[in-house]
Amino acid sequence: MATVTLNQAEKTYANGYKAIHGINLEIQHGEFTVLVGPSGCGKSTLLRMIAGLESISDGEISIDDKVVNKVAPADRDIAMVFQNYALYPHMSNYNNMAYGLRNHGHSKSEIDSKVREAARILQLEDHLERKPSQLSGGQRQRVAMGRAIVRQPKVFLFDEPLSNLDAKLRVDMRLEIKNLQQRLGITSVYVTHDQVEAMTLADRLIVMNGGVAEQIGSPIDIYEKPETLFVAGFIGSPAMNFLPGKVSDDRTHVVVGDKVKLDLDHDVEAGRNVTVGIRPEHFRLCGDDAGPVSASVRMVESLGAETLVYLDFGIGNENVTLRVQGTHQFAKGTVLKLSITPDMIHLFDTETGKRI
Amino acid sequence: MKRVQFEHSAVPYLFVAPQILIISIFFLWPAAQAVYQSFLLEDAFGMSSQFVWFRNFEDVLSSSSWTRSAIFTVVFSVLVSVLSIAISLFLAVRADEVVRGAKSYKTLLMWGYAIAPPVAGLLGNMLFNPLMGDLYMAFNSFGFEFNHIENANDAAFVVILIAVWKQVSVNFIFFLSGLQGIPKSVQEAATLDCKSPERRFWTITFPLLAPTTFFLLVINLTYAFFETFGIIDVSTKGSPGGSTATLVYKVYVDGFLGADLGGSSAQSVLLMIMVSVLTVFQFRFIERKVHY
Amino acid sequence: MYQSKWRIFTNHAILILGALFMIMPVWIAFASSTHTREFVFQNGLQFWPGEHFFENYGAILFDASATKGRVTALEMLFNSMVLGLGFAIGKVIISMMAAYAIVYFRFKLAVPLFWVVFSTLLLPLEVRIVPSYEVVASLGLLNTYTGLILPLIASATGTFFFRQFYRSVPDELLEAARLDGAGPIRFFIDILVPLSVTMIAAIFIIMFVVGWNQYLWPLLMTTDDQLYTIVIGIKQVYNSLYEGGQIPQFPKAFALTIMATIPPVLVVVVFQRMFVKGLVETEK
Repeated sequence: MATVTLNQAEKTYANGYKAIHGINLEIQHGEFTVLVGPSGCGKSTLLRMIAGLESISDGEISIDDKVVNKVAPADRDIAMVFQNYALYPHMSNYNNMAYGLRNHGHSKSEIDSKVREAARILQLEDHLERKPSQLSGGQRQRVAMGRAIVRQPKVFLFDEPLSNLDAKLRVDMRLEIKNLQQRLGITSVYVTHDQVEAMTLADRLIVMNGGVAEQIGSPIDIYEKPETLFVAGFIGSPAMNFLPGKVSDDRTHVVVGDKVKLDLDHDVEAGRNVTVGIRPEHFRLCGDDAGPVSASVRMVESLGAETLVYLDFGIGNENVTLRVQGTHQFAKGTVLKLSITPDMIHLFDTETGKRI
Repeated sequence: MKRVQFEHSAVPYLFVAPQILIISIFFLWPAAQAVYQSFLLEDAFGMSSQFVWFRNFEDVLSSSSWTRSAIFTVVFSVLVSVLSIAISLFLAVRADEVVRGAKSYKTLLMWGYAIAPPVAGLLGNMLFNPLMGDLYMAFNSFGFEFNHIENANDAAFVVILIAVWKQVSVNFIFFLSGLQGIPKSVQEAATLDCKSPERRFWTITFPLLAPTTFFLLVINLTYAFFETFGIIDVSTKGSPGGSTATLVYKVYVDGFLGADLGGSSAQSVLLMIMVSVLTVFQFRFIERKVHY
Repeated sequence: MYQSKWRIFTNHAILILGALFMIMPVWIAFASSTHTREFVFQNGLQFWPGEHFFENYGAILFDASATKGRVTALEMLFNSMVLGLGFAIGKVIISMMAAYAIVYFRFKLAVPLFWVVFSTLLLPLEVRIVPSYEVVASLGLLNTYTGLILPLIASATGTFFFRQFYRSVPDELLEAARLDGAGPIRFFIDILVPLSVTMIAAIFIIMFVVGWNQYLWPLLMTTDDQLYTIVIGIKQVYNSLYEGGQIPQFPKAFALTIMATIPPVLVVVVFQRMFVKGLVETEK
């Protein structure tokens, strides 16, 4: 159990490239923190700085109030699960898990009981004497997890641990990781680019972009109140629709395109140009002529449980995505009537991308 | 082999013909000749010869000079291989770790591949020249009574030093590429698990380099057997008294300078057998090479 | 990757020492080659270059008497170049063709021929020099470039390099080419050769260096000065250092040594990436 504190942590590479721009973060005891963002956003670099695999150019990283900037990785009392597992190919799975304990001077019997306990939890008992190459991808993933667990570290670090698994296994392992982390109560930092993993695993989510933490908060907060255009577009699938709009003179509407008028309950000055964000799942299909918005169907994708409809809003070639429950058949060109409640409308400053 | 192949009557023969022709004339024929001559005894003038079965072999194997050369060759080869492998592994591990100047170090350590063995021999010859050699003088000023002209051990030291120097680059190249083949994340996982770089080396890096090391051991033994000819011929010439003559050098001395064709051929055949064993060993190993 | 300050410091110290270990002998030879013979004779080997660089190297390059023979270093360099290039070109062409036949064709003698080629790996030239010399002599090829180069090409190392490489070429390529109507020779010329360009270049570089550095075979083969390669030339010069009761001409001998070293070193350094790739990939 431990806290992790980042105080203006920065990373600048020898070639001058600044990968991390001053990040502040306080991770609580036992909290599951997820760093999410597109590739190249610096999330892995930040994780590796916590691990000690990358040096910290400026600022401080502390574990349990002790600054670890100069502490060797092996002395930080952390364990890490790597994307490609990074198992030692020449050692048996047992030794893979035992290696770190041996180097930290644990007794033989202690090591044995810890490894066997971890193997029991992860259902690896039958595979301990084999080498990693003799296991399936999912089993290797478990050995990598086991190697982290046996250390009983202060902090677990995960670097996209599920991205090499196939879709079904990924879901299983995701549940298992969450379950395990809650049972062990170990502070965890988890890096992923997959927003489903991010949403489901995180106690607290950090959306990163270009070396900056765009938003930090609970997954639901971030989904409901994205602070920037980037976060709004990144979290949620299918992505939020963005439409250029202008606030009407009486400040009760925002006008999108020429004809679409949406009710507002925001406090915005009249005539301001804004970007309107609406999630595909927040449109409501109305009866034939009840809705205030009408748009024609361009294409329909049926997923069974839900249907994605791509609509022409009369604002150029951009599709607007609509997500409705169940199956629907709409011919191309059908005009649909839609409504949307004002509190489901997100407004962003077109210039700064900040939430209004 | 390929799943799909061409079936054609003439084309493949046309393509292998040049190689087979060259091999037949310049390899098979001389090799057969060597085997044949090893059973012959020529008279002093090379006018007549008679078939003597294994007498040349008996003579060779019972001669003290051949035995001595064989012992020297084995000791020499093992020392050269082990030393040059150890030095280059040490350097490669460090070169793999550095970030700043990594490319320059690599170049500075690998260019030696291009040095011809006799050139290496000459450089050694120069440094150990009793008239002006820096190393010769340094050793003697430190109080060693170093004299490679007369002392067999000193002469062996000189040849070994030169041979190691010449081979470090090749081994370095292979080790560095072997090290770079170890996934970075595995090394990172090890830094999380183990603080001491030395311990990490012996428990993770070295075992993972085992295939490279084994391969290099074979390569180095082969090198010490054959390619050191040029080094010996321009540094010690096998002196004093044949104590630094490897088996290959002895074949040359006896066959060319001593004109003992039968004996030299018998030596060649013995060498062929030794090399064949080494090569078959190498190939068996490569086939079974552990794929992690 | 995490490293302690001490580790970083020792890494650099060790690598610098290693680099000096490699460079020092050559540097001393170079520095000593730029002094007069009297100076070197009296003061021993030199660490700093002197003022006779152009004089000594000029004499070696253009004046046959400086090399104790009838040929200048320039001519020796030419011979070395012929040997290096001839060996590399010959080896690349012959091994590419042979490997192509072995990998891409199903034919009756494929297996026995493969073993014939393989057997050359067992017996390096060094163990059969005497009979090889006799064969070349009986063919009247002593003191010819042909006699110098061809026997060296007999070894099958190149064939194995290309065999490995061809086997790594995806089968689908041959299938696609056949659907497009390419016969065996078309496929070789239009697809396989262009595909092998980097491999060819890498092997060519390695073979050039190997050829340039040949010693034993040229030593036996070339009794005529006109065919001396520079590597052989140095030995001649060193052998005659103490002849005639004169002050030994060490500087010029060193100059010759340096000149023998520069071309292959340059090739290896300039084409370093390709060379390393070739060396490491082919020896697997």
